[in-house]
Amino acid sequence: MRNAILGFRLRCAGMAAPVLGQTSNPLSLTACAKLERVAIDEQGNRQIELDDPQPVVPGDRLVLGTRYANDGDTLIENFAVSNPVPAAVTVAVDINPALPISVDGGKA
Amino acid sequence: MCAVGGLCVAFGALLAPAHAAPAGSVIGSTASATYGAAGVARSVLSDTAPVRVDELLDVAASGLDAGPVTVRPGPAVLRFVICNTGNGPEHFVLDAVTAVAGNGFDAGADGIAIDSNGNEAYDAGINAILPAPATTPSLAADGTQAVFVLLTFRAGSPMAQPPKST
Repeated sequence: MRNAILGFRLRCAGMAAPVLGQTSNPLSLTACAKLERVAIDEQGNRQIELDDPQPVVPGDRLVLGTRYANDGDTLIENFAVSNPVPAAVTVAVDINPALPISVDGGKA
Repeated sequence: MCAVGGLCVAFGALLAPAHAAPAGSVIGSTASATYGAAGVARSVLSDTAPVRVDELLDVAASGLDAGPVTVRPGPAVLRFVICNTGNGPEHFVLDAVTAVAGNGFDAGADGIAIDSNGNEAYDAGINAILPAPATTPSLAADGTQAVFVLLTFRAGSPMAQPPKST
């Protein structure tokens, strides 16, 4: 299992003081998966389109994403999201080199 | 309420058919996050984005004979292996192409038999000839089936390449 780890620090302008004893989770994560299609327009330009991946076949190219939001009024710090790549999927060779990749479950 | 949103993305490609997810399976992508809020370390899971895998039809045929096969007028057998390179179980309809373009070396096709006893050698009376259309048993994804193409070469046929199987 390979993980794509992305680290962020979320800040809100005009943030109120942290709410002590808050039990609900102020951070929400929403997973998404898109099917990448390459189309050639009338001018011969290469266009990339993202469609709903229903269904896909072996060899298709996917974009796996995680949408995140601070739904509370508490400052969120040291935010790190881990998006394990499913076992049936391999990380594309032309992935953005700036994207941190972990092969040990996010430990390194 | 203060909301900050964003999208983290990763690019992936479904594995090649030889290691593919089976047709009909569902791949799930679920993320998790750790963070600190009000001095407390916390974690959260995302929902799961399901991706359903459809069937990819693909097949390959290759010869089992190491090289050119020497034949004489009369019956001959060529050996092939059929591989289901898709990701779902399938039957395949076989056809022997005996007419080699560019010469008059056209063998007569007598039938296609399945290697039912798995020894990769044609055993007359044991390896039954498939009735038309010559259809293999169901092959699982990545499954293989050896088959035999039964031919007859006429006396006086010019020398040429052996027939191909499709």
